[in-house]
Amino acid sequence: MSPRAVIGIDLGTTHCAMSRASLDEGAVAVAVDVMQLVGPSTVEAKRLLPSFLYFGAEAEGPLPLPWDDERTIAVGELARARAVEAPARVISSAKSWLCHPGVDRRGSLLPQGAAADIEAISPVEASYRYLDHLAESYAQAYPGEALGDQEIILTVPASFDAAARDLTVEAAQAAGFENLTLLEEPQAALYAWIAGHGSSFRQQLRVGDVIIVVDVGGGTTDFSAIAVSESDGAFELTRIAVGDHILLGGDNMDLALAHVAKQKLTAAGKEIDRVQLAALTYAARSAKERLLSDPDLASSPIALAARGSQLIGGSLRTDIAQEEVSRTLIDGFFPVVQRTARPISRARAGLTQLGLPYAQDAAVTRHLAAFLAKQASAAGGSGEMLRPTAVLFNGGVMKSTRLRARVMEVLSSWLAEVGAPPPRVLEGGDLDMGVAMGAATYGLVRRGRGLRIRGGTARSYYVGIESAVPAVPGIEPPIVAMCVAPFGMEEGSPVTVFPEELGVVVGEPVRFRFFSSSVRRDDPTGAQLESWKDTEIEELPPIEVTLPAEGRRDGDVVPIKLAASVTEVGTLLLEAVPSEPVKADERWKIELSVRGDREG
Amino acid sequence: MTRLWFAWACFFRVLLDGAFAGRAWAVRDRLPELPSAQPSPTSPPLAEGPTDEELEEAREAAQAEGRTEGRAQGALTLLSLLQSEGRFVDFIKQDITAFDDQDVGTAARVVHDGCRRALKDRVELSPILDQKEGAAVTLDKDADRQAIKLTGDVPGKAAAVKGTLKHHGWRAKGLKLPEPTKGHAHDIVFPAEVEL
Repeated sequence: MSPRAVIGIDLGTTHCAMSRASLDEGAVAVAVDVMQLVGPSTVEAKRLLPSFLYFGAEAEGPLPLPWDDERTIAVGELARARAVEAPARVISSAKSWLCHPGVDRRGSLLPQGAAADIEAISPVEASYRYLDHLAESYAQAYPGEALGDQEIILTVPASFDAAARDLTVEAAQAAGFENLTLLEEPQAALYAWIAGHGSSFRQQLRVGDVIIVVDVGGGTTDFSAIAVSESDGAFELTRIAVGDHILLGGDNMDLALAHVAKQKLTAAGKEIDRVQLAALTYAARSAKERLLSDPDLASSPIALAARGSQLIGGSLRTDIAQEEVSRTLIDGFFPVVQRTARPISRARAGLTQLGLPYAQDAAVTRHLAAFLAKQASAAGGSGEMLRPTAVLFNGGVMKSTRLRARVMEVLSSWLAEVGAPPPRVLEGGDLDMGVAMGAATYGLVRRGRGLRIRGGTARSYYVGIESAVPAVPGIEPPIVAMCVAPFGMEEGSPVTVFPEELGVVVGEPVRFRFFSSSVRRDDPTGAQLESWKDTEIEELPPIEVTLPAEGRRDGDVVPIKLAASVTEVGTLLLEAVPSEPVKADERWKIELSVRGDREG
Repeated sequence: MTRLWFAWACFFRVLLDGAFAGRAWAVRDRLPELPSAQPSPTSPPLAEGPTDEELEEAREAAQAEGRTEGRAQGALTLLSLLQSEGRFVDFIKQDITAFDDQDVGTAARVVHDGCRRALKDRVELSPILDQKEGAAVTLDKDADRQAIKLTGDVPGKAAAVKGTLKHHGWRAKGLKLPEPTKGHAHDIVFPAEVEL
């Protein structure tokens, strides 16, 4: 069935959101509320779907939805509430696991520390469950219009690596999304901003602008830079740089504030348990919002309900002072730092590998300084930092005017030091729904209704080949990194074939070390690097290809070339093309490893 | 004949065109209940049984019962919501006399914060009169007497009146409550909790 609408889906670490733009002439994106369980047997349509999955207990009976009486799992609000009450039965932050290179991402590892009766699932399956829930809810809102039949734009963090993108696509295909395209979240936020301003956005942007998107969501922080240029009198937007994946977001901030309140209660001799700490986090969030929005307020009271029915006399009372918010949130997460500051990394204890690789430095501003320095030459200039001229904020955290002001203050001081003017703020974005709305808008833009952001892949990719040198005990043979996919490859751009021939053994899996860079923009396919800086190139999990026999003998060594392209969906495709094919158009897909058995 | 053709056309569109089926379904849901007791012209006359009036009465009684039940269920859903989010029932049911104002105040904050959250986005409450309380107001002859209550020297006949605004009133717009799903027990306002 041909699509009737473009659907934008924001598959977030802590929340999902969905929007719809009809393909009829003149239509714009509208939010689609998501029906979900809000209590064990009550449903409500809500703007956001919390990305939590709860495995019901048999004794509780089913968790019925209007469209399925026998459901035994729940996605959304109820699941989020149960995450506190029964943590061993709930999956959270599946998306962060999806891009965790240290684990087998198709392995059944969620929920972490699952209760004995639960059949654990993979991060991919959890993502599929969220998408499937969106599809089911959509069918209720738009009867007779299956989500899977529509054109779907699914957003991913700009910092997602090629393997995490592949896995996201895998989850979407399991949910029956055939007509699928991936879009980077910060780009989606900019599309939403442009759509929100109609044609007046042209007055707000200037040729030569470098916009940075500062996206601080519930679980992750993501930076991108987008340049405004002109060609034949028309505006052009190009995404010129993306940042690293940083697991740091609003949840960390709420928790930090909850701990401040908890310490005060403990100091006063009050005990609070796990469930109360969660309630405290909730209360701390509202106190934070009040204090951040009104700097004249000296403090905001926090009342913590007794767990039993004796509310009066059993409830606890404390408060959060304006000064504590300033110290914990503004100075803790957005400290005033030098432009030369870099995130602090500590040596980790050996066992932390099992958990999520949370950012070790909680300072968003230090991560921002590192991003601007690393991408110093992204806009073509030279110098020690990228010089943004405009800032677009996204993500729930950045709703706070004081936090936005702090980011602008720090950024302006860095720019003043290098003799650049302070950047402008692009006002008027919808910080919760922007990504979903922007995704649907992008669907219309692709059909020629609006200005498109170009950019292609935000990284270049390399395979590591060992040099043929005499073996020396204890010393690893040197590695040469050969570029297989250059920076900025776009969907539909010609396949690049790596000129060097490599030998692979028929019938045996052959692995290559795999690297990528978000800064080396000029390496052509086939470029060979014998040395590089650690900050330039990072090693990814290895890639693997197995040549099926198919007319060849097991154990034979077959010469192949590596070919790279970007699929229509927006994922990187690496293929092995034999130099002497035994049939027409012979090629094998090279798997991006997601098994987390990287050495070292 | 036209109806036969239309039914035939609808049959195929409902089958093949999902969007049409959805719209048709929505329209069908909105249609008022057909008076089922009305015998169609072609059906055989009822030999014996309830008269039309009796059927009408029975149906009205059933509808009234359904309405009462529906109202009660809606009210319980709201009560349950105020309890889960704002511990409203706990607060009301507890004997308040023995506690000092500080304890009551702490509990009131819990209730205030949570009940506010429970109502936010679900019902839009706005003042009926925009003037400041204490201000002089003039009401014309046909001011809505359901929305505005007159006290004091109330005239017997409809007339324009002048007075002082004591309470600006509240008007609710669109109460949106969570919907029960299968097996929902309306009488459970808040479940007991046992930690293992």
